Amino acid sequence: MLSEFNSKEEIILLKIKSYVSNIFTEKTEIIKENIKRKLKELRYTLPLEDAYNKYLEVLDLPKYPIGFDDSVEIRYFMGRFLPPPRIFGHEDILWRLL
Amino acid sequence: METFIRLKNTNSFCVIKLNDNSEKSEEKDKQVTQTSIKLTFLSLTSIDEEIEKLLMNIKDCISGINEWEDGLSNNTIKKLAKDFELPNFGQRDYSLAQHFADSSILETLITIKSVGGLLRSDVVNKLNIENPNEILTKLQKLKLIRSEYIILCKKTSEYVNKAPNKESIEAVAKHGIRCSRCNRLLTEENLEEYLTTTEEANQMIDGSHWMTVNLVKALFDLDVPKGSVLVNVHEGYEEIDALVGLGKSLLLFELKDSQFSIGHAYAFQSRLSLYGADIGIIWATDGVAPEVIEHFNRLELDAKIHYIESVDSLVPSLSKILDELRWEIAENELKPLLRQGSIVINVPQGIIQFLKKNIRSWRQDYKDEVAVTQEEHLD
Repeated sequence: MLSEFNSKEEIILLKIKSYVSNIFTEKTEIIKENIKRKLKELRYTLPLEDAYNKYLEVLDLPKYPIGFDDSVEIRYFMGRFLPPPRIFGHEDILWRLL
Repeated sequence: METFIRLKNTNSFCVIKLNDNSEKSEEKDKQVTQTSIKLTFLSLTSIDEEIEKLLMNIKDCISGINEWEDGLSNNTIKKLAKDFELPNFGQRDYSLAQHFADSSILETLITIKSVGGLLRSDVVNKLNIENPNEILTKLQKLKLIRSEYIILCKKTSEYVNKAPNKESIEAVAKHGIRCSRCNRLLTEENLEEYLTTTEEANQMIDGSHWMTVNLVKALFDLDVPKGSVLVNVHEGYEEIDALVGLGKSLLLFELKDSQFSIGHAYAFQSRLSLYGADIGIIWATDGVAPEVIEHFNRLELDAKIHYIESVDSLVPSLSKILDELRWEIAENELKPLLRQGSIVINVPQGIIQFLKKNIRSWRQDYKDEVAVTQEEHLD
């Protein structure tokens, strides 16, 4: 019977929901900062930023201000070449969901 | 630019993407940019409450957001939705359609409907199903069949009269009304229950509507957004049983309450290309003819074809197809994070910075050295 398979509990599927809104703004930077502030207010962490800061800490380098989570560029000469570390790449997120 | 956060509900993530559209417009003498804000949520459990809270908070902190639109909506569905209605079935439709998945019920109803009505004794004798009386009682309870009573002349076996119930025949007999053929009182004649299908049953059977209703229920149960499904799309000579848009992918469904044969395949193939469907799904209750599979394999179509070859396999097969598609969408939605997922060490800029910094300190050292030398000279 069809109904036997219709129980939601039996099937665990990945759920995806996406919402989009278009606005006219003078500066996207302001939106970026507002979102960031709101997320911190709601006690969400920005893993990319955290990982970046942690990385700098390990290297004993001062924190360099970054905007959203972007422009993650270390503008310092390390004295030696370091391989670019990958942090929380998207495959890792998918792996965690699995 | 994009980032992600881990949601408070475990195993859930939100990708936030800001996109400056290149089109600029003049507003109040200032040049303003159109920016799109997109939030994509990935989870394994229902996180509607947290999503709602986040959307509300982000809307509050940014002026100009009027409403959130579906970020995964499909353009073809959006376009067609203007002319065609989204499925709007009620609870009763879903509940009834599920019973049609039982082949005994479907066969009984189709048999009764095809001849306009049948005597209960004929249904019991003719149909090759287990417990026919049980099935008929169930159908009566579900109001899918209606009973009437037929008076048959004992002498000629002719159909004399029809009444809605036994009581009305008894009432008529009390007035001494007799059979015009044999002169017996009507209550003394043979009484047979006559079964017909109800309007609701007919609607479900016509055009295999029960399959459409079951498909829609399965899609909604598998979390396909309501605005992504269109059913019975008529355009010119074409009729599409169902269209589903998920992200950029368009799924085209063909439903058959029999075997899907090679004759059906050609029409299906033309619909696939007409709508530019990415996935074609054939759901046929009696399976798909082997030559159809062979035909589609040979064609190497752009669309990927899936076959659902029984009633029972609808939900398991559909969940597999949708799951595969959702992981593809997830990969695409997360792709922008890939470039954020690595720290770029700007070595060239670092060398420049190093040299500039050293020039400054070297100049200072040089100045200090010169000053010391000059002082020495003065001494």
